[in-house]
Parts: sequence; C-alpha cells; structure tokens
Amino acid sequence: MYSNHVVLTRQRPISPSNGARATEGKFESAMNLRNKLHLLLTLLVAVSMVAQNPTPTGTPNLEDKEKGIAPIPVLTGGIALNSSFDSKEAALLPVVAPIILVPLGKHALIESEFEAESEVVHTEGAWEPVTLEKGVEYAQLDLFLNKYMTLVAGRYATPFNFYKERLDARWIRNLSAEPLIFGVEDNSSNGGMLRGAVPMGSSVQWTYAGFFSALTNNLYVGADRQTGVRTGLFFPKPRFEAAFSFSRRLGEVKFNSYGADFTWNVRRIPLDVRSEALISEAAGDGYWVEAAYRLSSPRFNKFFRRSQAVLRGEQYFGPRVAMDTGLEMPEGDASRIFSGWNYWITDNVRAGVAFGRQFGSNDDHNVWTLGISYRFVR
Amino acid sequence: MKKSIYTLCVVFLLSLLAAAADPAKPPQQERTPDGEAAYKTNCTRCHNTPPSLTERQTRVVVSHMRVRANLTASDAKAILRYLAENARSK
Repeated sequence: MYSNHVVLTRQRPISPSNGARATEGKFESAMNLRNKLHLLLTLLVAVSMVAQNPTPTGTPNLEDKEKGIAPIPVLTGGIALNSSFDSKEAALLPVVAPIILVPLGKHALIESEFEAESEVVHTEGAWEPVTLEKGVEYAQLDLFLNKYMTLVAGRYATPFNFYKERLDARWIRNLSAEPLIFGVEDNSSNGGMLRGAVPMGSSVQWTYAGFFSALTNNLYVGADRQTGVRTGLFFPKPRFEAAFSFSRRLGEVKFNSYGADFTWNVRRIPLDVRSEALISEAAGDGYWVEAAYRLSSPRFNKFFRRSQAVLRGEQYFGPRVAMDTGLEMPEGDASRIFSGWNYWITDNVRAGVAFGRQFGSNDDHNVWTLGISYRFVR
Repeated sequence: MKKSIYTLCVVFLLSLLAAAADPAKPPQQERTPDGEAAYKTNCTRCHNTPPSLTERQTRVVVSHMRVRANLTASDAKAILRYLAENARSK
C-alpha cells in the first residue's frame, strides 16, 4: 500500500517552481530508496521462507536423541588489567566485559556485551582524573533464517575488517594495544544486518555481512548513520581467509572507507598470520601485519608450550581530506613495531608483555605493555 | 546502473534459492564435516583452548560463534557435536 501511494505521488502532474522541484526531487529519491529497500527485504524474507529445509538446520539441531537437551542462557566474558608505559605517561587500563547469551528456541538467539573500561593515567608527575568509558558493545537478536543467512537486528559490532568482531576481546587479542587503524572499525551500529556463509564446493566458503545503521545519539548505545558490507572467501584446507570491506558514513560528514583483511592459520606449524588494511580519504590510510607463533611443539618444555611469541608491524598515514569524522585515529603519520610474549597461566588466564617502538611525525618513543586477562563462562 | 543493481540482487537471491531449495540434488555443502576437523579449522583460528562447558552451554556458545565467525551451518553443527561429546557432564 505504501509503495502504491509513492508511485501515484510520483506520477501526479505538477509544475512546481525550481525550489519545489528540487525538494520534490530529494523526496522522490528518498522514496525510491525506500521502495528498493522494501523490495529487497521482501525478496530476502521470501527466499528465507522458501529456503527453509523440511528438517531444521539451525545450529542447535542434532540427532533425535539429542533434541531433548535444551540450550540454556550463558554468562561469559572477560576481565583484564592492562598497563602501558612510554616516555610521557603510564596508564592502567582495567576492563570488564560481561556477555550474556539467551537462546530463544532453536532459531533465535539474543546476545549482548557490556564493556566498562577505566583509564588511570600518570603523566608529568601527577595522576590525572580517572575516566570510565562504558557502553553496550552489542545487544542483538540473531534469527537463523536458513543455512546460509542470519538476520541480525539491534545493536551489533560493525562488520568492517575483522579485528572488532573477532579479536577485540581482551582474552583473544595477541597484543593488548590495538592496531593504529583500529579507530575506524571501533564502533557499533544500530539497525539490521544480514550475514552468513555459503559453501562453494568443498574447498572454499563465501562469507558476507551487509548492514545499515541509524543515527543514535545516546551515551551508551550511540551509533552513526552508515551502511556497508564485508565479504570474503575462506579456504578451509589451508585455513586462509581474505575479505574486502566497505562502509559509507551517511551523517553530516559523509565519507567512504575501504578495508581489506586476510588471516592465514598455517596448519603445518602453529603460526597465525593476520593483516588488515584501510583506505579512506577522511580517516586515513594504513595497514598492520601480525604473526603469532605458539610454541606448542613437544620438544619445548612445559613453560614454552604455554607460550606464544607475537610480532606486529604497522603504518598509518593521516587523512588526505580534513574532516571532523569523530573517529579516534592517530595524530599524524605513525609507524610502529611490536614484539610480545603471551603465557597461559591456566586455560582461562593469560599474561602478556610487549615492547614496541613508535615512529611518529612528532616524536619517536618506546611503548611497554603488560597485562593479564581472565575469561569466564557460567 | 539501476538495472545492474537489480540484476545483481536477483542473481544473488536466485542462486541462494537454488542452492537452498533443491532437496533432490544435495549440493556439496551437505557433507557432514568431521567435528574435530571443523573445530580445528574454524575455532582455533582465534581460540587456543575450548572452555569447559556443559552440553547445554555449548549449544548456545556455538550459535553465538556461528554468527560472530560466519560459520557455515554444517560446520557449526559438526563443531557442536564434537564439543558436546567432550562437554563436561552436569
């Protein structure tokens, strides 16, 4: 009904003034976009309805004998205490990030993460006022539409490159310091997202995530108006994934960001290689490459078998167009190299130390980081 | 330009439809992957050791990771089976 009304409105013969014509042009453009979105959404829902197999295909569905075991809500998350030291300041960064997962039947899941991070900084011989950043990282409803598509609604981590979605958790990341280009993906979106993975034969999987976010001005669940997509190919045998990301900010400041990432988890040796790149006129350009080697070989003693060596190199080049993007990016060009060591005290408790040297357009300095993280599941 | 966008959308949707709705000819992705292999292929890319979970918890965590890590449905199912077999009883 709504679409018909729009079509009729567009066909009404009128002869407006130039200003009115321009206004109507914008209106028609907006209506066209809405029509397209309605059409796309209708098609997607129709496909998902048709594509449902007669037998349930959601993750929780196993053999008949297992169907009686219902999933239960899970409380998980992590606690971490990181510290950073350089020539100018020392900082303590305690973080707590509880995650709650609530299953709704077999085809839906509610998941939410709240993160509170404090920053205690000592600089120029004095302690600065303690700051506390807190917010909802995600609070989303996942609907498993079919084997290949999941509809995500609510607040979710923006799928641009992979660090935010997969490595941001303190008990997962290899180095406590985020990459220099992380600011462009360190945000959450409020809206909808379609994502999934489609096997294309036995040797490659196509992964995708497309999203739209609405502007939200709120201290805890703020978000920019933006849209974007991340799509890639994953090769299970060599455990290699390469993906491309695109996002367009649609708020008062409009700009595009392009990202590329790859991960290679070598099978023959316990070596993980990860990398991300960013190209954006307004946010800047940059890349990082990280290699992590787990010394799990039997020839090492117990201490080393619980250890991991990490090396990361990265560069960032400031924006080519001066815009107030609101992103937390480095001030000016910067290059940095980090080497780190992680040690698992238990399977859930990990300690890490890292040393880095940063070369900036203003100064060069060393950075030491020391931290411990704890992952819990209840 | 508009036609190209519509054409791309239609091709994408039809390909999904064709892949998902043909029960007579199961595509290659209908294979049942080995649970341990699927776990090592996917989960250990970011995680070192699986947390000690009950089977009920495992079901929820695997659903969570299916979304977060873009797991295929068949891989998620195989991983769930593998982890459920090794879950602590409760």
